[in-house]
Amino acid sequence: MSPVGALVQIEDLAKHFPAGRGRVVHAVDGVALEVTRGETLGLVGESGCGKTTLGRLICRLAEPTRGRVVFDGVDAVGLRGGELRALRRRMQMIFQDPFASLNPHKTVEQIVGLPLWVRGERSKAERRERVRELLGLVGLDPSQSRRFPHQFSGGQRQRIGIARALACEPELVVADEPVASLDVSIQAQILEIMRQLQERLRLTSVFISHDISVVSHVSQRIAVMYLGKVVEMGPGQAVIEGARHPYTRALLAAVPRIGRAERGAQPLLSGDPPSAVEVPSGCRFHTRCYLRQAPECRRVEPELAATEGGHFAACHLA
Amino acid sequence: MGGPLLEVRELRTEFPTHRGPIRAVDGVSLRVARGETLALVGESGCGKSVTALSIMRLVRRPGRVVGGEIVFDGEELRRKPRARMQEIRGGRIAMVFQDPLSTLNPAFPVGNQIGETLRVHGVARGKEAQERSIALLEAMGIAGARERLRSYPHELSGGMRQRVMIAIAVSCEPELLIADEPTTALDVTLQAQIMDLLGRVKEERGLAIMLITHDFGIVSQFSDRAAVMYAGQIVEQGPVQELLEEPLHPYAQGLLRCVPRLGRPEVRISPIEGSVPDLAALPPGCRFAPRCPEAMDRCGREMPGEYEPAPGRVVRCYLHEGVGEEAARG
Repeated sequence: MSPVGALVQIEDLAKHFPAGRGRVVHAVDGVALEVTRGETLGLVGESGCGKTTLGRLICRLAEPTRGRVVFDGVDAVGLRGGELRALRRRMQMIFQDPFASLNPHKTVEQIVGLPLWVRGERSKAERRERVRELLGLVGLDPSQSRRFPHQFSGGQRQRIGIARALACEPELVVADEPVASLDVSIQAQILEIMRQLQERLRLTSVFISHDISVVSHVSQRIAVMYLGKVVEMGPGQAVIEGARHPYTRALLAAVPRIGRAERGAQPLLSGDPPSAVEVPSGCRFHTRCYLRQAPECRRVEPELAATEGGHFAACHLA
Repeated sequence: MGGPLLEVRELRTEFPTHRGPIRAVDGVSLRVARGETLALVGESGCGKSVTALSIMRLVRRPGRVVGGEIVFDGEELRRKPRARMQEIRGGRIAMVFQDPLSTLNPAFPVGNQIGETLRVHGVARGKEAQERSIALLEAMGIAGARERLRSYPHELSGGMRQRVMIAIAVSCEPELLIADEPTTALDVTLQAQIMDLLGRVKEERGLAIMLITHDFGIVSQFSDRAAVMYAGQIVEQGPVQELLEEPLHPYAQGLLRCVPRLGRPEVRISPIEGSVPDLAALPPGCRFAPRCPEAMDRCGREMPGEYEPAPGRVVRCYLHEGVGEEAARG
């Protein structure tokens, strides 16, 4: 196990869902990327772009239609039984809804301790001690470990979800919209905890969110998704300040910012994104693109091509 | 004319519970001038929606408005007969809600629902109502408006449904539009389109808007003045740029520091410690005192009044007492 290099490598990954009458939803449709050890990769995009499905594919919670997911040198697709369970121990997920993802009948100690119990490596007393340690790590009072989820606020519940994800010291954490249902002051608390954990535990993580401001705050690199594809990827600051893809630029322009500038600017995009059932030909974004298009935009699907400094964009015009 | 379009003084709304009354809105005073956009900003449960519902007299029982005055265009709304209130609601004051799927009737085409509003308020009926509905949808940027009238809400996208809601809201030429988190359920590129539409509708029709939101970006881009709410009270209000650049109340300052700023990595976020007080067991003094980094002895004991340290800026905090003179309200 090398300390540097890719922990996760994804090649031509796709997930198609049947949509009835022979139609197919192209939820994820040919994604290639790497997650480097110790980094946080932000995955950003709007509803239906495939970001959650991609996260689930990485954790092997969904079976890909085609493509490869390589975790620490092991091809994860096609693993079964004990091998799959051994792999899953090394990755964990944090979910959006802290109300739906915690069992209301269990105490916090049971919830956070469950992954440890499943592993069966520690005694009851050791597990209890580890739970207290984990609760402290996420800023919860360890003396409240006998309480039930409903006795906690939304932000505290999300901390419980984080503690549970960290229980078995995973190498990879996939956080799917972990702050989407939280108020801004609580969101700030959770984002700060995630940042501290990244630093302290040198966690490798994939942070999925629809909110590019949040993503840019916690990620070293950002991948922007549109209709099942990554359209742009690169170091956070390069993507935010030097976006190449017209979709990324529209997304950035649409974020209402605090300050005088750009007040009353016209939105760059009109209408809704096309359906993932009938994906447009050529560049998927061409039906909404506001740039003067070249003929190949409608015919040829652009590849995610390197520009400079680890920055990639899938656009014929970039 | 002359006076504000809407003036709310010391509004109080309570919901009884077995643990005693929840004071959801507790002494809210605000004004909205004609053609102005006032943003009401705050976190979940701070009372911003209940304030709006109280103004509209739509607070569901057993909740009720227990005090204060609501003066709309010189008329007190709290004591209006029900029938008169119904004319005002939808006629002179309209409302747009967060979730168009739960506010549009799923059993009828949207054309019927626009037509109904026009008919109930005696604006138009029959053929004329239909033509007006088409014109309204076109003005909202909906293509193929004539055909769209026959669409059911589920056949429309989220953005389209919100356009229909805005069409219904402005159909009777209201003077005030209360928009309660109108874009919270939408993706950011759709949000930009809907906010752009609201801005144009406001300009063209000279509407005043009370915009309820939790997003300081929206506040900054789309409002003239802002009021920050915390635990049922407005803790600070003032012109939007001044409030955002130099907030006076420690809660407003803290909340602004929680917002991740896009493209400004040098601005670190720092969370507010603690959590919002239980509205059924409020602290005796300032409601923010238990979390306030600048709290003094007195803050925990006595509720601060509303002070006006600079023209147009009102803040409920002892730090600003006597800086200007006490605001002549309440």
